[in-house]
Amino acid sequence: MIAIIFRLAWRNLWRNNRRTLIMLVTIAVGIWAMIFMTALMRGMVNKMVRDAVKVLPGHVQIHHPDYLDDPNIVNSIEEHPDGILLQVLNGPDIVAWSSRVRVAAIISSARESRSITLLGVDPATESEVSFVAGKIVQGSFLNDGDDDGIIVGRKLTETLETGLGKRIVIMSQDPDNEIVDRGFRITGVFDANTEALEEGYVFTGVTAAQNFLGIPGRVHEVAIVGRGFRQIDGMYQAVKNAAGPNFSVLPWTELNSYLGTMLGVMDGFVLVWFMVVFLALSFGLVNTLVMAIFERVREIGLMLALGVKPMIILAQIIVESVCLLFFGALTGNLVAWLTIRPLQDGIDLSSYAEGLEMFGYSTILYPEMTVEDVFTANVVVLSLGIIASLFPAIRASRYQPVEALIKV
Amino acid sequence: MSVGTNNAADLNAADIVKQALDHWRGVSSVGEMTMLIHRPDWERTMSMKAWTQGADKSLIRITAPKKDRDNSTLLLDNSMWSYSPKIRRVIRIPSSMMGQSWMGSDFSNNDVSRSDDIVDQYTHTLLGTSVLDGKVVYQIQSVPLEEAAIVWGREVLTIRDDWVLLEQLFYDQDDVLVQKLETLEIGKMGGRTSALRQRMEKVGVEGEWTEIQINQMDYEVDLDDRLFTVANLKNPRE
Repeated sequence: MIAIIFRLAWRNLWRNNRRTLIMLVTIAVGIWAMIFMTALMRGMVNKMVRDAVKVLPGHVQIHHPDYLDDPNIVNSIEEHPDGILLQVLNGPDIVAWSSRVRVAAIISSARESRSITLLGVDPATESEVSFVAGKIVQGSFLNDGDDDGIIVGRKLTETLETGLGKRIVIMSQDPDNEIVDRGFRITGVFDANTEALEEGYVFTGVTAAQNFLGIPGRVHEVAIVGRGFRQIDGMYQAVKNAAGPNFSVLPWTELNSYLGTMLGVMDGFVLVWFMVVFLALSFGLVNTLVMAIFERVREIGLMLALGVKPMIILAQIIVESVCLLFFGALTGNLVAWLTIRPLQDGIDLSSYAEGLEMFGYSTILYPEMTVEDVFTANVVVLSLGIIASLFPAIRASRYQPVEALIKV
Repeated sequence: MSVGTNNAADLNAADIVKQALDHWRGVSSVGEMTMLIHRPDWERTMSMKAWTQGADKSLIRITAPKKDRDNSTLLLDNSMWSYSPKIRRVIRIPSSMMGQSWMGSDFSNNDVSRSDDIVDQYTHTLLGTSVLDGKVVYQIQSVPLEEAAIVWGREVLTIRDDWVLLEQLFYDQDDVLVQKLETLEIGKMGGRTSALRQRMEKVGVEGEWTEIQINQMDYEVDLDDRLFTVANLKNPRE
């Protein structure tokens, strides 16, 4: 029985090749648009989140409870966590962690002064946590925590009219509010793609920074990188429990709530986008099926008159639409994959670089096609497509054989 | 070492610089001066009184014009406070403002507060000596120490053998002249021959400079320690 329904449906589809092909193309383009556009948007948002996480840096951060409200040098914590916290940090859920000194400071050259954030980092752990180590374009990154060379952004060297190998002066305040300042030599220049980063952050060795600021053994934050920015809940809870009430432990979604919210909005937006594309698609689909039935009113009447049950008619029309949807979706997925694949290495947007950098976007866009998104797109199209085709199918199954037969 | 030795041989460059600084400042001093800030489209004069004691205490109080009167600056060690009579508040100058201009002049807060750095934060070498108007003039190159909080690549000081600083040139690390302090007038004041009019200017910026003219200066006066306190900054007894 089912075999016959399929055969009939299949033959019916190809009775009007052109219409069926147009419908197939429509569904394929719809699916392609869903998957391709989503991959682009995902790529953009994920890159933004990853970049932001590298700037923060980390998926989770530990601070002194007062530090986030008042990033004062005195709100510091122990450089080397111990006990259970250390165990958790070295556990399997955590890829890397790094203790960092973080204070506001002034950097001056002979020409200019700028306010910056001075970061004292341990290069061994820092390079796995933040963006800077891999972005050195001149000189080299710090050798160890005692290294008192300074790493500055390219844009900052232009603003200060200084450069690699030159001395600059950094000025800050120690825990007693006394001014501390000294000369540092620029040993590395980084390129972060975004001007705000290049102008805002300056790196030196953690011990060198502690000596300079008079806070031996103290740091301001511990940045922790987990397995991925979406799966942080378990790790976050573990660290929070291990750290206890004397520390403030926060995930990146709260440290940068703008991006955290944005990621949530993005997930919702993908679904809305799918719906919009489908809505446009469904009109074509319903119209095609209605037309196909309209042409075949007498034929359906004859089938009914010969004793075919209305349910079979309904099933046959739905199978027709399932075939259409299935092959359309198949083509769409294939085309989407074929168009995204060559773009895996990134789409260069550097011609719009300046505008994009302003929003914190990076200039190369990597489309990201995820199984979840492809699955959702197909499920949306197939399930809603079947629901949409129910309407003409039910209509066809309810024809009165006599009326249908005499219809002209 | 006696002041006024004409023989360069028994002096090293660092001593010359130290002598010049001590000569300019004295153990203690009270002076009156006028500061002229010149810009291409405006000019402004301020009169002030200054007290100094030792290397790390000084108080400067504006006496004219009327609207700036009693604005004061106190320097203690490396810290700097500023008092503004209009808001009756003493503000401690935070590190972030130390690079900013002092009273709108071409001197930065750092220039004003860190005069001692020239002695202990540099390596000095004698570049040469020459004779000008019958007096020996030393030319000294001062290169900041590696960790010194000094932005310059090097400075070149010209000091006369009676310890008057004639010129101070500030070079950046590309050896480009950025800033210049020049002595325009030398005379006797308070029993000492010293620079009476000095001009600080940014090189390459036309028509922007600040001149300080010393009108009255007494050296080695007895000063009360209480003069150099934040309380006195706010409620002047003198």
